[in-house]
Amino acid sequence: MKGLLLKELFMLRKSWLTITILTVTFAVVGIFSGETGMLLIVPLFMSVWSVSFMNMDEVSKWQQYSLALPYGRRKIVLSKYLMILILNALSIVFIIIAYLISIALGKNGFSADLLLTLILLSLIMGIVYPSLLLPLVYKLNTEKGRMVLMIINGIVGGVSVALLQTSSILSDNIFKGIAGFLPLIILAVVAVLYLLSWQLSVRIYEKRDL
Amino acid sequence: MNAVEVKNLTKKYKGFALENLNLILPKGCIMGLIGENGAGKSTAIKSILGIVRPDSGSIEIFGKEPSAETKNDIGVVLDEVGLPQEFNVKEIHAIMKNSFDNWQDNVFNEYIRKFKLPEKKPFKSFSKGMKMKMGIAVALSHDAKLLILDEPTSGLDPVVRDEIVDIFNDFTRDENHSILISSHIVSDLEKICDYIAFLHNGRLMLCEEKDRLLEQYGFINTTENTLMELDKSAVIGKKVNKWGVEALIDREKIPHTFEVKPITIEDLFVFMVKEEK
Repeated sequence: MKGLLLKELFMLRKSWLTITILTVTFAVVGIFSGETGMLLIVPLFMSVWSVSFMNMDEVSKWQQYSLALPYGRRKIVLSKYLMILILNALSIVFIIIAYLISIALGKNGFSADLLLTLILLSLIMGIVYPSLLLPLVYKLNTEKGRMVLMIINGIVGGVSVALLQTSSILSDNIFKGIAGFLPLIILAVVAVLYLLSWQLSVRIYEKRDL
Repeated sequence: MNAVEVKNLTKKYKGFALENLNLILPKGCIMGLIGENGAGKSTAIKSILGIVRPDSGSIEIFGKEPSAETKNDIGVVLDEVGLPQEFNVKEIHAIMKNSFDNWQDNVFNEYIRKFKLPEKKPFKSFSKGMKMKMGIAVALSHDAKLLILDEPTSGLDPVVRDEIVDIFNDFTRDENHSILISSHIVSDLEKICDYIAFLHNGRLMLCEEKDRLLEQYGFINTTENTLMELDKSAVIGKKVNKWGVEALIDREKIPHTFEVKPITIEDLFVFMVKEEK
């Protein structure tokens, strides 16, 4: 699968300038305003970007050609899901560094709960969105699914804004919810959702004519 | 063991159906899949590669149902190539090197040098001929035993086409190497193919050794009346002109007194399709 992951990384590298400008902009705004919730744009942005590459794959007929490589449809789908996880991990590292910089600059005091909440929300935003979107893209392809994608983007955008604005409040409550097990429950639900999404995408893609 | 065996392959779309296709490509041979645009050539090739799912039928490559691992031994060039548009030669090289078990750096580099492909320009900036050459370079750089080529010379100028056909000829100098190549440019296939399969409207009209076809069929020039006296099954097709009739015939079914001129595969195909219409 190394070849497939390399392909995803090269796609990301092609957009490095845009990605860097956007993530740094939001990080700077988040750091200097003390609104750490702004940092959550980064994981959402990274997963949106990764899904958007699928449109480029369709245009270049890579989807057809990739089946001439010794991978099979299962691995092709898995590579996309793994890439999103890698991007999420990078986003979390980015958020941690940005948060620590904001503390160093005196914009925030250190709060372990806030940091963990940011990490948790980063996982939710970076994983729930592609979990909903990818099976649809595999089923409909990016052109046909455009209307559905817009609706999902709208919902996710609305939820994201709510999370951004309430991240500080959430951090006060998440770790107290259900005797402190709420974060683990949320993580488990997100993980299960991602696994189910992956399995559904594999089933859809295995049956599809390209 | 045959390189490719297709049995009763059927794939239906709205308005078109590829029906009961049976093909056998013996190991070490080149088979040309000939047909007009829309005949079903690409559907057949994509079914063999698993890009589309057949409705029924079976496919075997090297005696087994194709799997992902089988693709290590198959070099593929599709009509639109399909390599990522934004990547350059180096990036595509890195992806392919990490995809195929038997990737050969030196072979790939040699083809890039031979085809004079720029290493740092994105694939989307290549001409059609350059894109095809890039696809061929990848297909030939992982010790493939079978090449499956879908319209690899379409849209190319005659010089480039000739160059590419020569490369395919070289590939089959190894008796373990086989090629399944589709094209509507019959003259390209006639140069290199051992077997010819004619597809028309989703049906296989014939599949035969090329030399046998060239021996079996020929042209005669005669009159309409004389033609009508011949066995109807001997006449594959005819063209009426002001001097009489030019007919494509089966040599074995007409009297030896006729002077029979040689045909090309292209002639045979055109006459068969016209007669079918």
